[in-house]
Amino acid sequence: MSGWRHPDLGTEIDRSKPLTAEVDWTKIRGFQGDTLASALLASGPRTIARSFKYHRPRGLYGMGAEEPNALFDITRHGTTIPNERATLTPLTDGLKARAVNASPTAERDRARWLDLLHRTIPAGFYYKTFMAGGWHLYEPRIRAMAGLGRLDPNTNPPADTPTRSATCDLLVIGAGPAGLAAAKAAAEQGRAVWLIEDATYLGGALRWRGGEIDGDDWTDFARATDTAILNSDGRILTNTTAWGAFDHGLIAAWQRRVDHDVHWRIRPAETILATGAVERPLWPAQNDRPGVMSAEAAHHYLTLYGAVAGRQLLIATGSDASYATAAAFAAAGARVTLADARDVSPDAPDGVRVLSRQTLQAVHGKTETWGATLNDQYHSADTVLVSGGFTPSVQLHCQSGGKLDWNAEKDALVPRPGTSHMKVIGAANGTFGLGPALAEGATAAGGLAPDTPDGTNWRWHPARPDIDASGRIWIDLQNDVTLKDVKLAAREGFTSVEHLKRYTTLGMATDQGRTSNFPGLAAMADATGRSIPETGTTTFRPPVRPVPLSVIAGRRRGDLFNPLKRLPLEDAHRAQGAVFREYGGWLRPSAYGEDEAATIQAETKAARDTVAIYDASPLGKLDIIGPGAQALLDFAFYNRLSTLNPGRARYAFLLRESGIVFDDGVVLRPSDDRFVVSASSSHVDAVRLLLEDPRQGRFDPSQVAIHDVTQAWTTLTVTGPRARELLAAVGIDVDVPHMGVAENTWGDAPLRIARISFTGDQSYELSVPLPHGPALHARLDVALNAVDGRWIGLEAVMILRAEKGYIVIGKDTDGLTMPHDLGWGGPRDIRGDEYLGKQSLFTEAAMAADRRQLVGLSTTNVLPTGAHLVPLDGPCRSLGFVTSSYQSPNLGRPIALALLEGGTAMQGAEIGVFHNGDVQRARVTQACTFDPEGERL
Amino acid sequence: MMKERDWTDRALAEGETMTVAGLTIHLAPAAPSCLISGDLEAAIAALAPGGRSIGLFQDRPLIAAIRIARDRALLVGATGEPGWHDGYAISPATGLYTCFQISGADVMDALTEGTGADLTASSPAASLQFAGITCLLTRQGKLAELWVEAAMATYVTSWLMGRVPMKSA
Repeated sequence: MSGWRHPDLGTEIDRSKPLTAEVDWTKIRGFQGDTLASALLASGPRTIARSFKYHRPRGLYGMGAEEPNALFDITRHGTTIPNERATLTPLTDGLKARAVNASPTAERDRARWLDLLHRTIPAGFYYKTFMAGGWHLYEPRIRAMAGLGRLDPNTNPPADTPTRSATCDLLVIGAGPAGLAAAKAAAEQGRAVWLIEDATYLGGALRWRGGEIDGDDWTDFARATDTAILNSDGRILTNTTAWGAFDHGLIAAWQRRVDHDVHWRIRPAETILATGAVERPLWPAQNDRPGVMSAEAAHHYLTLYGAVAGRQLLIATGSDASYATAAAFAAAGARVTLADARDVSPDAPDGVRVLSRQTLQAVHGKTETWGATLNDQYHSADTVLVSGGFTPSVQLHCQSGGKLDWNAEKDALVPRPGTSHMKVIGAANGTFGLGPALAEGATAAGGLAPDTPDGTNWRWHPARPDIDASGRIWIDLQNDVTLKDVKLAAREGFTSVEHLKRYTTLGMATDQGRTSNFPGLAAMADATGRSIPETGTTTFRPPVRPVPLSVIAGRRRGDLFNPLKRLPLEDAHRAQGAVFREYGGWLRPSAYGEDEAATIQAETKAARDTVAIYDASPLGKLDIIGPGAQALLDFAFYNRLSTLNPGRARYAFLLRESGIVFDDGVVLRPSDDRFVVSASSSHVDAVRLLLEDPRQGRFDPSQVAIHDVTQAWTTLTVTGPRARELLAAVGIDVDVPHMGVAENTWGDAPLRIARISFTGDQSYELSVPLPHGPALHARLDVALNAVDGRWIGLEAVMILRAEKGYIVIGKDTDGLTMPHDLGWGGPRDIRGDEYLGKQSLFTEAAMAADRRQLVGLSTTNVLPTGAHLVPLDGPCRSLGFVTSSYQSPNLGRPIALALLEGGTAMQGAEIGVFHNGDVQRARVTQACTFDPEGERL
Repeated sequence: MMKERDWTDRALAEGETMTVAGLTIHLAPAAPSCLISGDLEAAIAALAPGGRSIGLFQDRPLIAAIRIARDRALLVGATGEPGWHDGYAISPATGLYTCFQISGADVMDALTEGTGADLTASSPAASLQFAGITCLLTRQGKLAELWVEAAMATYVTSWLMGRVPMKSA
């Protein structure tokens, strides 16, 4: 118990509002404004977490997204969010936190024995160890032990995160000194500036380090910036994380608010990145002990929250930045020793003992820190603060394509100017210290540098992991990756940083390697005799820190997730008892009755016995108009369409360049210069785009137009032996030949009649403009009752078409099916002109005799769709699969369609159907099993 | 689990109005309209003399050609015979689009939730992605007009009804 609350310090807490939370079933107290991390630090417990692999005791290390240890499953108001960093979690009354990787608590974790096995479980051990007997034997147990937090299956956070889009003249990301200077300079020029800050308050490190700008306290400068931005029609978003940089300058940002979060999509004309830097740790033996902290983080907790990391502090550093930290702790009443790696260092602050030329070799402790070894000499300390320099936060720069250069003087990888769409300034650009940061920020926005007495640029002694050091040294605290693991990866040939990352997991998980990537890279460089730039970096990808999926998904959940197209006549169908299912992105009647199985059979029978009507409105209606229409269609379609006479219709295929069937359907030619392509209902957009390609790229687009008017028409299909009788009753002239089309009127409405059939019975597709759909529906409904017909849903239609062997693209075809596999080899053999996919139809594979071809199957029971077809003799292998399978009420037996290897030549043969380990017999037949002569059409 | 039969929400009916979260949403009756392609100027001159072509979030007169793409537009307030006409094509399209007329204090907030397009920048075409689907956006004074393909009207109704208004940050 070493942390404590200072009685006076704490600029961002309200001591008049005490709060109580529960961490691992232990109550902790804090104040309004605290984070969970600051409250934990002030409450004293050192071991607040367990490490990922070895379950070693861990304490608080950082102050923000870089925190590798303090991960908790947080429950507020009954909602549990896993893997929240305590450093980024506002303390709220009644909050409950459970340490991840620990059971029952971090202090008394039952799995701590795992650390005793550390010699036997180095990086990659499971790749090598769990091969014998099969991975599946070990997987359940390992999966149960692996991972971080626990998902609460009862948690169902509301889908209330709205998305907002915005534009601005300048977006400044980061409100530290450099960001403030840039934003203020730009706003004073009248530019609309948006300023995004991850924290609740502006200022960055100024908040805990303080500073004087333009002769006043920095807070005056921040207020002036705020005013200038608002006066120039700009906006300031605090508690907001710019989490991703995307194409064309788009920045995605997550704003955390009291009422609800907001997900911003910001498209600025210009972006300035001022995201600061993260302090590097040091790498003595046992550097993971609770009580070892980032010096900058400790300074942050001290000033903002009055949370003092310890009473006897050892600050191990090589950086000028740590001197202000030491002074602050000394002033707060702690005993402070500052161990500087350099020969020459700044003057010792009051009350601070400064030691020069010191090397931190080891930390001593167990569940808390007892002391440390410097230059082979033991020093007592309850807290060891470390500072190994700073790593610029360049994630967004890299996400937008930016490159990095190694700058030895700055001891950092810094952005290469001009390689991304954003300017990078301040610590993110390797410019440290108040004066240089302010100057760089103001200059980037075309302003003059603010005045400050603190004009020094921080210097530090380059620190690297010593690959020859003894003891256990952690490179990545979050993933339990040690220096030994990095050396092992190098020995085993995983010398690329990308391979190092995958082999050891270094740099993965919630902290994304903020404190580990650099030392991992440096250690690998040292182990392989390369320089840091030769070794390279891993790829930065969004998000820069974990963003809740509820934020990314926003309101697109449930009905709004994948919205369906809805029929204009949906209410009318519902009134008739229709139940609905999704078919190709449309919500359509599946049957008209709650007993679906029985209803489907009855509907299928009625359609053959009398007459039936179904809503075919989703069927595509692409108008192809103009003098260039027939040339376009001849090229785009497998079947020649220029020979189609006006007033006629033709079934046709569309192929991809690969020769694979993409869609099928009937093409109507109502007049000489106009065709209507009836694309499959789920393929309308795709077919339009497929036609647009040659229209715009191969033909004169001024001579042919494509109009998708699918949703401008209601189409009702009347089918069955009494179809003509029904239509006569409603006054519709049906003097149209099979595969013919006529454009008439019905009352004052245009009416298009296409006599084409998807059922194998005489069918008439009646299409009227959308506003006339309800009237046509009502009129047909009355007449339907008079002839003992019925409305049928899509399930009945599916059986009717399967009886005829008519295919549904994507169901009875797959990604290898060519038209001749479906019995449509004619155009391939006849057409001499060019058409889409032609060349692919003549390859060796396309001409092979053992291609999977469409067949029917005769069996005694309904086959499972998808079941594989196998030989009855010899080795079992897949010869194809069942594509459609139904009980036919009209044939009184099951029917099935299948794609079968060499199926055309196997008519009458028996084949095995493999399902759930059993093989049953089926006989190969023609695909068409009902009215094969087509006499009913 | 998704229960596809439970989708019982419905679209606004023609002429119906709803008020929700700072918005008043009215579904305008379908006006005669058609798709035109090719020589748009010739088509407008022939079908809607005095009419004009309008782009993204531009003020729409009662008869106007709302540009969908470079050479395609939705002509609202007039229609013509389907087919090819001396350089341009016509397809009757009355009812193809449903027009949501949106007014109220939160109009811009709703629009910036639905689209990432910069509505202050002009664009010759009125097409945009709104709430994940392709729509057209015009206006009449302060009244925003969102043109949605008919089959997606239920979705857009649900989307508008369920939106979360945002107070100033």
